Amino acid sequence: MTLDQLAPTQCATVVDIELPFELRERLAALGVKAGRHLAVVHRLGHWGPMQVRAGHTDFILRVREAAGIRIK
Amino acid sequence: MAVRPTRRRIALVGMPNTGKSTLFGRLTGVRAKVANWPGMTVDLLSAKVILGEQAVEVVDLPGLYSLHGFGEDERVVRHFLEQESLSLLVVVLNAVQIERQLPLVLQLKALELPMLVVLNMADEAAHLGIRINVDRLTESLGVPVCQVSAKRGDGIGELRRRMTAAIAGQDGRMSSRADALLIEDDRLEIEAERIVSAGVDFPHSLPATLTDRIDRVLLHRWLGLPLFVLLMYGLFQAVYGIGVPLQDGCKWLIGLLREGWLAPALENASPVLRSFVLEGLVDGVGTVLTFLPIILVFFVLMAVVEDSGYLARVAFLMDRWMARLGLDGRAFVMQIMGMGCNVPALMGTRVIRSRSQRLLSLLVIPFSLCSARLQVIVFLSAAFFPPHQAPLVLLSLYAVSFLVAFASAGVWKRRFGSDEPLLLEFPPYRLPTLRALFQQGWHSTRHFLQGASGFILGGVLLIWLLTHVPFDQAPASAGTLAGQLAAWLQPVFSPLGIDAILSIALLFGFVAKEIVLGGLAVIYGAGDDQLGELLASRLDWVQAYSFMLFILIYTPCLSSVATIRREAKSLRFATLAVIWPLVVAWGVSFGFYQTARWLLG
Repeated sequence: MTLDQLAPTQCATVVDIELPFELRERLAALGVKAGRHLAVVHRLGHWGPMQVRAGHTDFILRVREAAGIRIK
Repeated sequence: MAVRPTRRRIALVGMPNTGKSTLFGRLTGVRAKVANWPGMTVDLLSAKVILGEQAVEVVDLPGLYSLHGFGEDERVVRHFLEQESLSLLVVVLNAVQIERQLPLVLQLKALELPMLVVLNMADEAAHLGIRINVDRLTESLGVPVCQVSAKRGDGIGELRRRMTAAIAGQDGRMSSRADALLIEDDRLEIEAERIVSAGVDFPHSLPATLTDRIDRVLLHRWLGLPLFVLLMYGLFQAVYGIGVPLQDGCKWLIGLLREGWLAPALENASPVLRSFVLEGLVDGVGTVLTFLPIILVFFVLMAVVEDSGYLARVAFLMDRWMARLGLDGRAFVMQIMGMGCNVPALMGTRVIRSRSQRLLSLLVIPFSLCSARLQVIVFLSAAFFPPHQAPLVLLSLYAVSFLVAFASAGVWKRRFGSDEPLLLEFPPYRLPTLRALFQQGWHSTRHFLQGASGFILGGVLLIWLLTHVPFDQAPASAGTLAGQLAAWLQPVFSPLGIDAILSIALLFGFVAKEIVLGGLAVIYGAGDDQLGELLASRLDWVQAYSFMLFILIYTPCLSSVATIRREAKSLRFATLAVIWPLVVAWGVSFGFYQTARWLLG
């Protein structure tokens, strides 16, 4: 499954990131890479942006990008 | 940067939102614009500091996530590190996020420059139960490490001692190893993990923080936006609740100075000199000065909002709507920051990576009702509307400001919009210290005065000249220069209900909106007290509102235009940014005035 399918308060582990190189780099700098744990803290409805926590870092991203992050 | 090659130079570097600028302020006493909002340092700030017995230059570099990134900030830092020689690199980390930030330290370490690692926000880390073994970290990194809280000022003395010691043994400055930028990230990654696991203890589960609990309410799907509007409404209520009594005090003082001291002193002076001092200088500049308390309170309260971390939440809440306009949530935040002054908000667009989206933001930010326009609008709404309606009039103009910005974005999104992905770090809520608040308020007000004082004084005096020359004519009558100019402008402004002579003030408002009010005082030959009554006797509320709409929307001030030109690096775009608002302002005022006249018969 992908990150956009995760409901608030649910956790998952990143399996793979299928996004453009630059975005992958920026995600990596925020602590998102294969093998890392993620949790969805908030999301605004089904289509709204999501607040995601990786370690001690929170960030927001849109559903479209979240769909490029495969998790388990 | 023009620096003598022998002077010691220290650079502060670190990820966005690590408190680097606050630390810079602590070390140098220079207050960089700080906000709990990623990417606020947009220019290279530098200041001189005395360390030990040496004058040292300290440079605050923009925040960057990685030396290998592609953002504009990252390019700036990389270029700086490649080109400039340094005596010491001070790497600032957010201690809470040490795990994620260490790879950057290792990237920087590979440059083989003298280095010092600062764990900032040590108090927040301790509060979250993160225990950092500084000795072990120092040992594994092979670089001195110290813990500080820049916000509270803890550990700054020790940091200064370490910095002094680090540069004491050196002859000059060193250049970085050029090939260091090519090191593979994966290897650094593994090393960082090893260092963290040896030197840092994380609690097993994170406590549900206060931030999470507040966010449950403020980020609520349905309540979030209404709460935002309510908060902003409360902010403006507070601005007037606190600011207006202070303003009354200012008026009283200036009145005392004018009537009790200056007027008697000039009793025997020539009428021209008397008019110049009393109606030009005192009425013009004095009217503007009475608004200083409101501006000060406004800036202090905006600083609370900026430092609190709430703006990132606003970006989150608004993103979906802004995306439809080819922008993202950050653009909305810039719009709010623009309420202080448009210029820093325009510079803040540098966090937006896509050029076309940045241009679209640059185009719409000047519609944000800045503090200079606020003065004019507050003044006019108090003069034309009863006290219980005036705040609603103001609120309506804020609404118009956002509507015009959104509509403009809608119109231009095909040309400039983009669907750049949004990826924004979310800071925890933080309470600003009182010291920081007053510094920020004072700094912004001083900036406002410094930036505006020359313009205000010059503009007000020029308006005085235009409305009084030739001296044998009645001031501001058809025979004066201003009267002739106004007659020429009349066909453009009369369909908007804007009085010929009022249009003169608008002409000067193009330079700086701060001039408009002082200009009005000079044009009508009245101080703050009588100006309102005088205006109310000459115009009706429909004309006044049309005038306010025009002031709100028309061409950005000269500093904003210069900033847009610099940021967009395009004269053509800057021209568009001048003409478009002018057209919109005319259209909106015309639409309002003609409709209102028709409805009211």
